Amino acid sequence: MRIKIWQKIITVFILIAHTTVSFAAVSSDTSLCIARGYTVGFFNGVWNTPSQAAAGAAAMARMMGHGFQNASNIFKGEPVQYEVFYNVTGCKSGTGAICVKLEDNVFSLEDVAESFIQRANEIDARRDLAKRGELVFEIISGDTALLDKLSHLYPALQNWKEQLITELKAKAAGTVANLASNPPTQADYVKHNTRLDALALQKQKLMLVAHSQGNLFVNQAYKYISPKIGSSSVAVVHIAPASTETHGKAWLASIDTVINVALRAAAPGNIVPVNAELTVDKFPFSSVDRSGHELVKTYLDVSRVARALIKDSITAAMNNLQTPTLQGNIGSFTITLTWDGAGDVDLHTFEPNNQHVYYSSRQGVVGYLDVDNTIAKGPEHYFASCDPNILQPGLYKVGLNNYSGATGRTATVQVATSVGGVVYERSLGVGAVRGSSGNSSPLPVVNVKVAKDTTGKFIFSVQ
Amino acid sequence: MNTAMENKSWMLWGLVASVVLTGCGGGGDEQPPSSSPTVKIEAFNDSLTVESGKAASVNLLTNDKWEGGSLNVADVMFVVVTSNLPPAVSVGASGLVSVASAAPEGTYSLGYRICQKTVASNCTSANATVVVSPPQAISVADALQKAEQSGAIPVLNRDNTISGVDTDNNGVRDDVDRYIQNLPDTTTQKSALTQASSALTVAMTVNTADQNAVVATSNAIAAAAVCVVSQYENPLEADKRHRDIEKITINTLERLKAYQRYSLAINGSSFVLPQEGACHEN
Repeated sequence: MRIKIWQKIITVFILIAHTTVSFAAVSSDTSLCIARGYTVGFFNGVWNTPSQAAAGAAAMARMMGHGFQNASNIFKGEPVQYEVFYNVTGCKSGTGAICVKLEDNVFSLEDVAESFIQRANEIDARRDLAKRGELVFEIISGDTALLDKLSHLYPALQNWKEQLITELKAKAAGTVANLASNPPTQADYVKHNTRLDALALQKQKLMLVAHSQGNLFVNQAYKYISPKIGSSSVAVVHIAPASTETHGKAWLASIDTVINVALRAAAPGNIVPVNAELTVDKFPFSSVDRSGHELVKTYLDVSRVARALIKDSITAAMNNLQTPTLQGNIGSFTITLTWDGAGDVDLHTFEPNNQHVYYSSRQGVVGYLDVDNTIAKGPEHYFASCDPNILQPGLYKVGLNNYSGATGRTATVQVATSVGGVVYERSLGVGAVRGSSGNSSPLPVVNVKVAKDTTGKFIFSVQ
Repeated sequence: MNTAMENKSWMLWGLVASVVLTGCGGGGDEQPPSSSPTVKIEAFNDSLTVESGKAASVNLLTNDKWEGGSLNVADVMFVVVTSNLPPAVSVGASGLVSVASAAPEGTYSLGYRICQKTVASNCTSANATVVVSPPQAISVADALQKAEQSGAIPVLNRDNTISGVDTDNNGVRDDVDRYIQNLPDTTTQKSALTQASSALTVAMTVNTADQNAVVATSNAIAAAAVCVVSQYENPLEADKRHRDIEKITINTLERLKAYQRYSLAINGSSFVLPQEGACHEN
């Protein structure tokens, strides 16, 4: 360890001498990178599918004046990127990336479908109704256009539908309450956290917005990244929070029956107060909004009061955000390494010309190891040039080495492009301590392939 | 108008009728010049709902009043003022509305006037609504069949495959293509919805062990969402259409499970929304 620290001190001196040249060579103001600015991270609600989470984030972007019919994503002269921090509903806490099944009384989308099938078979002896998967989505969303037509023909379906909707609202609240009392662990958060590290290193201002169960995830995200970059560089707005823990403005409507009725019953005392601006007299019920809990239909509805209030609170929070001062850079692609405890794990990148970039040789031909951590958890960070004249097609071999003290740790490696976000992530054991003898043969993690398509556009993939 | 005149509304079979009453014992739209005594006549709105394929009738004058009591049809003149009734719905001179079994489904209305025979200018009027409803189902299965036959709900592929039948190889099931084409949306909106269904189909079939494929799928999902949201003026409409496409595409338990496999593959991950080029067809 001591030898390595001296090596690193010497390297820093060498790098200081090279800094001007190095950063000129990796100018950020080219087409391969989006300039520094804001990342609006959206943490999705209960039972949201990836598609619904994406649409929620897109609706929010549009509310902010971005992403709608050629509107540019600019705030205070800087670009805004919207990113979905996705969580499926029903994963057992601690299962992390290998979530396969839920706990008792916690309901995944698949279990909602099974409930639907059970109820459907109670009213339909021929079991035709149960085969209509589209009706599962109707029951969850409350937009029961197809079921209403069937109820018109067979009125007994009307009460059946209402009972099922009520049942599922209680299940949604029970799911969130269970999540609150058995919160996800670091194993569940690690990919989000590594991404937050990467964004912070690249000096992105972080605006985090959460809906429903997403509030449980955003709370840990805030607590993870805020001490690293300071509370002036990250802000949170909570929508329909499923917890009393908040780190920014929280919005809860009186008509939100999932939170105010079902969750209150399932987890008394876990409810934030309804905002005075969103009491029922100022926020009337809408016929297309059955639960009062939907992101778009309840809180972002253009005809109701919450939308402008939420927009104003996000705008105000973004106005106050300061650029993080961490040492790190944006890159056409970046590699971020974190691990789950003490020790020194090193990130190694072999560029296509076989230039080896690591703590002892931080300057590559294409990229640069701009963050090295020798104590605990990381991050370590490599960034490739944004300049298309410098970025080289070919394979970038990525490995890690347990230099010291990290035996038994799990590392997470994430590869992301500036424009497209995360393209690869993997959690793996760091292996045995190898010290500097592991430098020449680090544990292989992934190969990043950089290629050009027929138009000359760079394409990033992994092998 | 008489100063004692008052407006009143009656709720009758779910309809509200506004009828002008005079306070001087007589009734009608105008005071008669005749020397015959003017009586108070009142007409009330009527409604008749009949199941398609069945016949039914109602006399519009049955609930109308003569001096507050029953009205004798022989004492009044009955005139249809407005009507959009189909040929299979007839109206007799005595105010009898008859719906034949061949009457097409729909909601129809007519306005009528009754006048005191002896004082022709003493009139009052009301409206009637005739609803020919779809035939009631005797079971859920019957309701499903009837709704599909009438086009009230779409006929969807439910075979045991994930991708279903896609004869034109556009990445979207043929039945979903038909569903989208039947929407009253613009061409670009329909293209956005097709893109959304295509992305969902990819999500259901993606090899979740292939990270490049999973990332490409998330990018496709994100692009489609941004595209759909950008194509509708009202965000609520965009949200509804986007969710409708999802439910029509993910329409069996097997497809839901396949979609869930992809959802679990990206659990705890992140993906960005594209800033440009979200709509592939535009």
